[in-house]
Amino acid sequence: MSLPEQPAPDQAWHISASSLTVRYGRRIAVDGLDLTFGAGVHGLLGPNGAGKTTLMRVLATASPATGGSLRILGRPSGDRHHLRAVRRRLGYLPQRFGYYARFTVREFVEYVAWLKEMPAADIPGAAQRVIERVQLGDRAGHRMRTLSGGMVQRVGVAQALVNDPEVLLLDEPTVGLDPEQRVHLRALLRDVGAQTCVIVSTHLVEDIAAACSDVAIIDEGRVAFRGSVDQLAAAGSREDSGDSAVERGYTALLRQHRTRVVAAR
Amino acid sequence: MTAFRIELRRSSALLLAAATVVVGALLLWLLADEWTARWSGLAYLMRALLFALVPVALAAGAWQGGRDRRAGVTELFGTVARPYPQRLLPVALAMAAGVLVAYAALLAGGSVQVAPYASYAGGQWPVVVAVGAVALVAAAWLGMAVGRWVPSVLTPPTLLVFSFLGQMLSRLDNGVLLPVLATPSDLATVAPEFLAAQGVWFGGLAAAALLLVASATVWARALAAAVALAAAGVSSAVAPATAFVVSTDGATLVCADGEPRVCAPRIHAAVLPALTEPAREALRTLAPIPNAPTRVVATDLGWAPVAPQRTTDVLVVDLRFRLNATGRFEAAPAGLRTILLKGAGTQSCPDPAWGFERDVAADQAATGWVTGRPAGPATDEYGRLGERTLSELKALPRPEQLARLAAYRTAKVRCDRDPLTALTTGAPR
Amino acid sequence: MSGPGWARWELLYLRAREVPAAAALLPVTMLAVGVLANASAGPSSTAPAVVGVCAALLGVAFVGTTLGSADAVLEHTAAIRWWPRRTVHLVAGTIAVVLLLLAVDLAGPSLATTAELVRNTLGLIGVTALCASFTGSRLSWCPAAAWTLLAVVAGPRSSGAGQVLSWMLQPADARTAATTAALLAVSGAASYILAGPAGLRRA
Repeated sequence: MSLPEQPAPDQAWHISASSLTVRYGRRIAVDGLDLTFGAGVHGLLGPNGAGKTTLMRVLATASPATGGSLRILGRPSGDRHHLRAVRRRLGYLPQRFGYYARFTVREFVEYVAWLKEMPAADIPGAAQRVIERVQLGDRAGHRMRTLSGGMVQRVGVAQALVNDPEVLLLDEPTVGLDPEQRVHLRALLRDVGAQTCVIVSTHLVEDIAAACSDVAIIDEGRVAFRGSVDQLAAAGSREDSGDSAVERGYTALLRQHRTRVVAAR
Repeated sequence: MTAFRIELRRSSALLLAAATVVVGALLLWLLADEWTARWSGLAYLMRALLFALVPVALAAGAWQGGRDRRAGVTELFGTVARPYPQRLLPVALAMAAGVLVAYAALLAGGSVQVAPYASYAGGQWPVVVAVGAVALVAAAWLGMAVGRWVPSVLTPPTLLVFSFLGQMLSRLDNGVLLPVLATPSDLATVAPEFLAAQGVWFGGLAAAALLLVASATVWARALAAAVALAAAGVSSAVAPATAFVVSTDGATLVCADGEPRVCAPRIHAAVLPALTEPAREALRTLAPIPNAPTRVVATDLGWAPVAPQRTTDVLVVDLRFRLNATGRFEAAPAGLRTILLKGAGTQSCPDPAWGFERDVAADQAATGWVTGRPAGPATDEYGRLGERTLSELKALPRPEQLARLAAYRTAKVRCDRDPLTALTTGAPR
Repeated sequence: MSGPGWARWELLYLRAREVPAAAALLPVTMLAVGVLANASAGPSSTAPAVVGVCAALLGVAFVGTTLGSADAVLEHTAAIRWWPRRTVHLVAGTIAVVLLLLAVDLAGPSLATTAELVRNTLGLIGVTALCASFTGSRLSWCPAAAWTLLAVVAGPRSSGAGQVLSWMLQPADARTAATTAALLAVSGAASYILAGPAGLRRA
């Protein structure tokens, strides 16, 4: 089966989705999303069960979309031909980060680098760099089973970063981190986002405010809002619930979106 | 290489190697008296170890196969570039390396026991061990495939117990598909065709298991099943009906210098120095009997194909159960003399129509005549019968005594007549 | 002890130890052992004893995998008196294995005397519980399995040390074997009940 010739990769967007739909049986988890992501740090915000994790899984090529079109790094996501090449340029931290407890931190990161088909000669150096980047240099030789939850989460970030990905997908990366580590991770994300498309899914609004250049709010599988963090902060008013401008903006935008949806029915 | 290096240290390969060495070494030690000083004995013991080592390899493989599910890495590793089969290859190779190194270590440990005493290095024993090693690799990989398919903590013990029971209860003696290979005699060697058939089967099984471990598609699984079935079919078809044949090298008689001739199979040549003098003395003791034996042959009477022709010319010494761990006679020279002169240098008849008891009584009488000692413990009816027969015999004129003993010896060799009657009445007229 | 709340807690305890799967599969595998033994019943006198020991090992291994939880470390910190719970767990598991063995023994070919089946189960569960308290539950059955493989392949021995080594293959009236099994059972149960399963996280 020969594939139709693809147009030249659209360099403007790392990820572009149109009418993206994911169904699980009769339940629609992602409902006709139109979204594009370029370089920078993008926040994906929404209540629990909004479809964030489903969307992240599809973007990470962990599960297929059931409708619409999705292009990752200029290639259609259903294209098995280019899947392997695309995956070499992806970094992914799933919501439930699984690991081999008997491996040391370095071994696990090197193993993931090998799975991402990095050249063997580059692997030790790259692993060392990302381990230091997540401040685990002194733990590199420790078994994963001996790490605390926050350290494991940082290994998760390190393995996602090890291949210098062009698209970095982090699902709830700040879970289990103490405040200091969280601040460090946000700085790291801003740094990586200078050249890379970073998508951070979270339900913690303050993460978005501190680390992201722009935000997408997802609710019931649809985009409720897309814009900059400033726009998000400006959307709220005194009457909206929340402890910060960004939180008030979030609740206001979510309420407006739900009103529109009800009206449309 | 990165992944192989890591898996070698962090997968269950080390666990498998450790378990194999511990269980195997303890078994080698516990069964030490069953593989006296012969390379082939060690080789078949290495195969007997598979009773325990194959279940261990299956269980360790199953534990390894369940790792991804236990660790919850399926989602993350489902998004990486490297295809699944490539990901599984390093860990499969690490498991194979672990079990092979452990098996080789056991062989090396056993060699330390054999090397100083073995008189005969020939034979195909390395191939016998090599086929066993392939069977172990196949078991480890098959376990991985099952563990991947059913990634439960209950899978390893279930596999272990059922594979062990299956082997123990299997009534296919030396079946071509079974890992364990038991030799019927020191003088037997496994038929090369049989060994080749086993190689095909276990090689095919290992290949199929590896395919199954690394399979990502239904087609790969179907191919694996086809390979396993084809290997089983081919090896069953080409395997000869009898696994063991007489070892032409090992069973060849080698004789001590000088006359009369005292010979032993080459594989047991180590018995000759101790045997020769007592054997010649026994021949001299028996010489007055008209049909006295003129030479001595040591052999294994436990296996029909190598049993020597029954003739009065040859005094046969059965080696079964009489050798120690260095391949020498366990008995002191005086004990050897008793062994040699038992029944005036004859062997028992298989399944005598007149009953073993009359055989025993006649033997006791004849032995007593030759050795000049009492016929034996007169504690039972036949012991007393033997004692009575001996005293009656001794009361006869000496030529008649010798004629009676000759008749007895003939009866024992032909097994067509009650030897006690021969001793009490002489040759049939 | 409020009814529904208490029952829910017990359910969580059992689930954390993956008891339901083991409880559901154990009868099935025991039945399979019985069928296998029936199919291969022959004149050989050692076979039924071997089947009996292997069946006991299988049951004990299943119980062994349930002796710990994935969150052993977390549970150690919970303010509950664990030892009565562990005692009940161990005793109930042992009784379940013995009853299943007796059922197989009655329904199928005779495996061994009741005394032998009980002795073997107790001794093997002792080894397993001891291991669980040192290395965790998931592979706690390994030493018991190794011992059984060794004893069965090497065959029963009659010397003093040999009787200790092959205790599970000795006749019911063998004092040394019974003493060995009793020591294993008591030390294993004590170690497990008092110390609990060793902490164990993911593979």
